[in-house]
Amino acid sequence: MSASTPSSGPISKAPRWKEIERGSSLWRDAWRRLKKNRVAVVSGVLLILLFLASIVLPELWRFGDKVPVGLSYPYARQNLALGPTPPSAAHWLGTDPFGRDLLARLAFGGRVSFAVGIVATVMSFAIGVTWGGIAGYFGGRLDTLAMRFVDVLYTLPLLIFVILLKVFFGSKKSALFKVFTAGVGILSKHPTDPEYFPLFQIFLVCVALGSISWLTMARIVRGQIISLRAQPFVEASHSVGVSHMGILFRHLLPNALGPIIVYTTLTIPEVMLTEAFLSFLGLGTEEPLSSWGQLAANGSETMTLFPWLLVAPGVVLAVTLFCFNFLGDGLRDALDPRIRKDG
Amino acid sequence: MPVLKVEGLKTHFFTEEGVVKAVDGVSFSLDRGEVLGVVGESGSGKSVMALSILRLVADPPGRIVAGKMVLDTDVGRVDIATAPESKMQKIRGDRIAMIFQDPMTSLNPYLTVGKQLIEVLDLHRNLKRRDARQKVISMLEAVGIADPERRYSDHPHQLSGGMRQRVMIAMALLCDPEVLIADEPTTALDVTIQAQILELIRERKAETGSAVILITHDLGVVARLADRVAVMYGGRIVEEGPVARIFDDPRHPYTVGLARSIPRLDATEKRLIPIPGMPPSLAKLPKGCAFTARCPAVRPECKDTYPDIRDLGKGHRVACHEKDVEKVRRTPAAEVRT
Amino acid sequence: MLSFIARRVLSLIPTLFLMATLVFVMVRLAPGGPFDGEKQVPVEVKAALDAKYKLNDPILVQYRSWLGDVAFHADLGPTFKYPNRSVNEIIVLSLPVSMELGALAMAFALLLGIPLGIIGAIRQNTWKDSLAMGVAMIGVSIPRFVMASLLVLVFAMKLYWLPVARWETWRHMILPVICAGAPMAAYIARLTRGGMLEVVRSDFIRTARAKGLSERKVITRHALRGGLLPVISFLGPGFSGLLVGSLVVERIFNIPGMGRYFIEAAQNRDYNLIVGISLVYGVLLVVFNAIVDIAYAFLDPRVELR
Repeated sequence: MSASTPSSGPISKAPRWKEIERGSSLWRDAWRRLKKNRVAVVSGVLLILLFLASIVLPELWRFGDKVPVGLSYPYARQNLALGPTPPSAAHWLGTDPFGRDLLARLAFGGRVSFAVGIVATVMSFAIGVTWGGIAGYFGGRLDTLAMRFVDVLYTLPLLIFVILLKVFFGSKKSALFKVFTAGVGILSKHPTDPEYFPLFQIFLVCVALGSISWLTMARIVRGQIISLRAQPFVEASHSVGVSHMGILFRHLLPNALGPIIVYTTLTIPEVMLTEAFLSFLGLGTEEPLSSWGQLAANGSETMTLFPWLLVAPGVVLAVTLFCFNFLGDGLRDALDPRIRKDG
Repeated sequence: MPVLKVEGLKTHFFTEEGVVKAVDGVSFSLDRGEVLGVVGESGSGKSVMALSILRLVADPPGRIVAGKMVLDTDVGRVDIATAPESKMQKIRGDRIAMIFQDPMTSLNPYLTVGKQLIEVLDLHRNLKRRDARQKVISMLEAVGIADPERRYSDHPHQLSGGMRQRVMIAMALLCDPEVLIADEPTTALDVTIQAQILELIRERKAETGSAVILITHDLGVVARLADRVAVMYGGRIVEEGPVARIFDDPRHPYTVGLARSIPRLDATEKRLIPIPGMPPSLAKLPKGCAFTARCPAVRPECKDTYPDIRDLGKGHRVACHEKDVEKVRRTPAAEVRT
Repeated sequence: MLSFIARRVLSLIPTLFLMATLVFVMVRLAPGGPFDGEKQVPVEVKAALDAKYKLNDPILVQYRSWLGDVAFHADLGPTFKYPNRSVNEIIVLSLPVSMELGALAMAFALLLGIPLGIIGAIRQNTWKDSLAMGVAMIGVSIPRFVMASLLVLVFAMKLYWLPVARWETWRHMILPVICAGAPMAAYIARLTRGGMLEVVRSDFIRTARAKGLSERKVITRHALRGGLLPVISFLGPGFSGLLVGSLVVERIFNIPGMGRYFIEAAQNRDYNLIVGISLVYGVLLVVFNAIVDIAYAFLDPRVELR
């Protein structure tokens, strides 16, 4: 027990025997703290509900009569005779200029948005963790070079590159698309199905966003690894014969998981936001696989005439992002033992 | 009249895990010019007591829930336990000053040393800029900092730990405070520097006549500097008296245990005899004496009633049920009773 | 200090170079040239145009001549879609507009974000804190175009308080600046709060209180310096985000800034314009980052000026 005292807190450094017996670990403490944070809990629950809704709702039309009218439309079915209508008993959120039910499109859009958010984040996670982990672990010149690269990329307006990427390589004529269809063709039976172009767009968006969001993750991971690397158990592991990669992936990274999880949770809304932004510029997902961002973007074009087309997707998107952010904040507070509520 | 008289001070922290009674009924008096050493382990409440005197305890979650602290200076008498904050701000740094434990983090890294020192004078004295600067520089010199003019414009990170602590001492003494509280002033420093800093404190105190409350867990420090000693355990003072008596004639089992657990060059015993067990959590203090679980002289009444303070004469007081000195100084058993 | 600044400035050049080259390469690699649009251009006309703009020369030759133009003449070349104007002209016209928008947006972000963050920190866990952070959270969670659309809908179309678009009087500037600056304000608020909370816990703050300083002076004289440092380091990438966000804002509010031209250029495959504007963005960013670095070194005396 050290004799140091912090600024002005009470410190009872004596161990609490009962808790030691129960085996209170970092994770259990964090989970306990998280549960107390009501906003974070509500956010988490809301997100799960939204996610489930986006999976379940678009399938409900198959049940025909057993489902209330408002939920019975397939997301892509058009009704040109009907055209755009405000929310009503038949169409709970209204319809768009093609007569498509907004609620159905919104529900399906959830799949796209979540998919993009998750896939791009996973990509950024993979790149960032590997990059930062290796840089932090090996240190020296490798580290300097790696982080210099990150620093340079950090200062550039990467989104400009994404825009250019989408504009130039996102068309049907691009070589990249041909490669994509070839790849998909191997896996599926209908290589020339026009559905693949929207899929390609989604793919491109995921790749593009994943490749620009890994920078901060790399920095965070590197920082964590550097401070963990100095611990004696690393040397101990070495002396027993564990390989570098082994130590890195089996010992260090799991210990660094806290901030990594927090940042990952916060990357998802960033990605979704960027995707919405791209959609607004016409560079996002493509009909009919429209994301929430795309729906909101479409809505904003006709907002004076059909405001409901903007409000619903806008609200859903905002609420989702809100929840992710609160959850991420909650996780950060829960996992950081230093941040006590008593200032 | 003592310059500071503390009666029944209780500082509690109201946290999610319960009430932490960091200071639970502390009384002592401090005479002008005397050095009171406050000794105890981590978690005994001594630092919180020091902060309580200056009312620097963070509220929430901490609060002074009971007690009186009467400060008696030539400008009057005031109960600093209940004085309004505006009054406290005038007292802090001026009548009562504090030196903290870790000099590496106690100075603002973004401001120059000089700026931080002159701030004290700006607050409490009406000096012209040039005079204030001069006073700061001579104080820097007085605390043993070479080339004070240059150090004035340096930033803290350009100074060593020992120098920073000297700066802290200078900061505390600038206004000639009546009471100087030193909270483990040497714990974070090298052993060689420790001696210098302690000597410095003794010198300056002799110069200015300030009373000093010296908080430490190191009995050696106390032996060097203190006139009187108060031993704290579990948020209370368990024994108090002149330094010689505390060392030669300790009457509380805890004090005995402390003295015994220090390695000494002239010891005949080959083993160190530690105090078995762990200090209690200040959130879960027992009803009676806090030392019950570890005490070699424990009696049936210890668990339920807190002992009254017994006056042993010549300023020596103890809070212990056991009056038999032999039993008090019994060597403890190896295991702990929980 | 001067040598630090000089070295920092010099290191900008390779970064700029890298960026310019990257953009140039990417643009040239894409399928479809500026004259391959939907309009059916007769073959001979196309050939003539290609020849005029040297589009048939090998890439390296194009690169060298372009580089020469840029580096020695500051000539970014002609645009392809506006035959009577050069890239330089367009940039000269639109840059000041974008800069104005950007500067105002950043000022707005700082003026709103920092106080919100400070309130959140000193009134931690009270309703004021929750409110401040809630507002900040909204700024980060709403896509800019949604916010812009909603604001325009409410303030311009329903209430008729503010004009819908363009950039003429100060009234025109309110909504675009809010939209452009809001996300950054939100970030700054959160960073400030975090930074202040961190600093306020420091030992030297306790020392400041022990000297007898009032709480207000403790915050402004001692805590603020350290607490705002994370905000300063954020300004660099924050500016990057601001530039990118201005693309949306300029488009929605029909502001004749670089962003709007950039989007058009990208869609028109107007090589020179794209590259030119990208380069200018790059320069702005890189310079701004250098300034921020230098400012940070000024503010934190512990930073070693290597």
